[in-house]
Amino acid sequence: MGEREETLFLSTAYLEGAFPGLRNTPYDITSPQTPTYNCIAWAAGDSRRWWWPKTPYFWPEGIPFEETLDAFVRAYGTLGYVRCDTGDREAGVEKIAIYISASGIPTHAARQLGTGMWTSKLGCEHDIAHTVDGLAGRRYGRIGAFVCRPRE
Amino acid sequence: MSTMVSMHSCKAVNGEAWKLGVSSDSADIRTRLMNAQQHLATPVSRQTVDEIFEELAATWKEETMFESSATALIAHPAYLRIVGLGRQVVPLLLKSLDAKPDHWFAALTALTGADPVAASDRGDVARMAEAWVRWGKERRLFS
Repeated sequence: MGEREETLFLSTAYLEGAFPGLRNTPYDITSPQTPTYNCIAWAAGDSRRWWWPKTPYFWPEGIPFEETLDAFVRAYGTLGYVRCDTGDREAGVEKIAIYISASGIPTHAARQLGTGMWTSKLGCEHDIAHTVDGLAGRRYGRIGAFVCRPRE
Repeated sequence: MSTMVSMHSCKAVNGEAWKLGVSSDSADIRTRLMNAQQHLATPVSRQTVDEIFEELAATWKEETMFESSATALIAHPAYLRIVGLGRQVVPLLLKSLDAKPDHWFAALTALTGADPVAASDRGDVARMAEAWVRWGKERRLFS
């Protein structure tokens, strides 16, 4: 087994252990591991920075430094996103799902692809393509809000 | 050899108290033995700071690998223990950043009081790492 194959094999085992929802839903690893950007940035289309409302990380100007769903919705609002009701695929619309913990603190974000699948950056690990429910569960909690904007 | 003799009360097999003469050398050996036994019974770390750091860093990476929350990253017990190692760990954090960007920024600021990252580079992990490495090299904190 080659080095790349071994890395992907180990990651698959880790991923499915951490996110049991991936075991029975389609997903694909789409990038190497990197600690340089996180899911909040990746959902916003930024693969250069780590977004979080905490110094010394990036957070959009004018948005409260709060770990609340409202602050995260407003952060994506700086890019033209507004709240929407569902994550259903709609032609010409780009959506982001914001996951929250049981206590309502944002834990993760995923962006919908044109295919209807979702793309996520998993912490310091890989980007993956997945179903929106594939990452819901013990670790990232449930989806607290969807935001959307016209697809560019 | 010293002729000093101390008297100790002992219990004889038949239950009667009797006196036993013990030389000062013998008493000294007994004290050393007790100290050695106490030392063996007390848990002490024989790991170097480098080894402790590597171990804690590996635990932190493994247990936070899927975290996007900066709060969760720096509140992890292993991260806090690294900060608890004090300023002696600063060269190791800088050396780690020099090898590969990672989230040691909060630890470095906590330990040094410095924040060399430009406001325009907030969140840019690669540039933040570069700023800290440059800061450390200017102060010859690591090679």
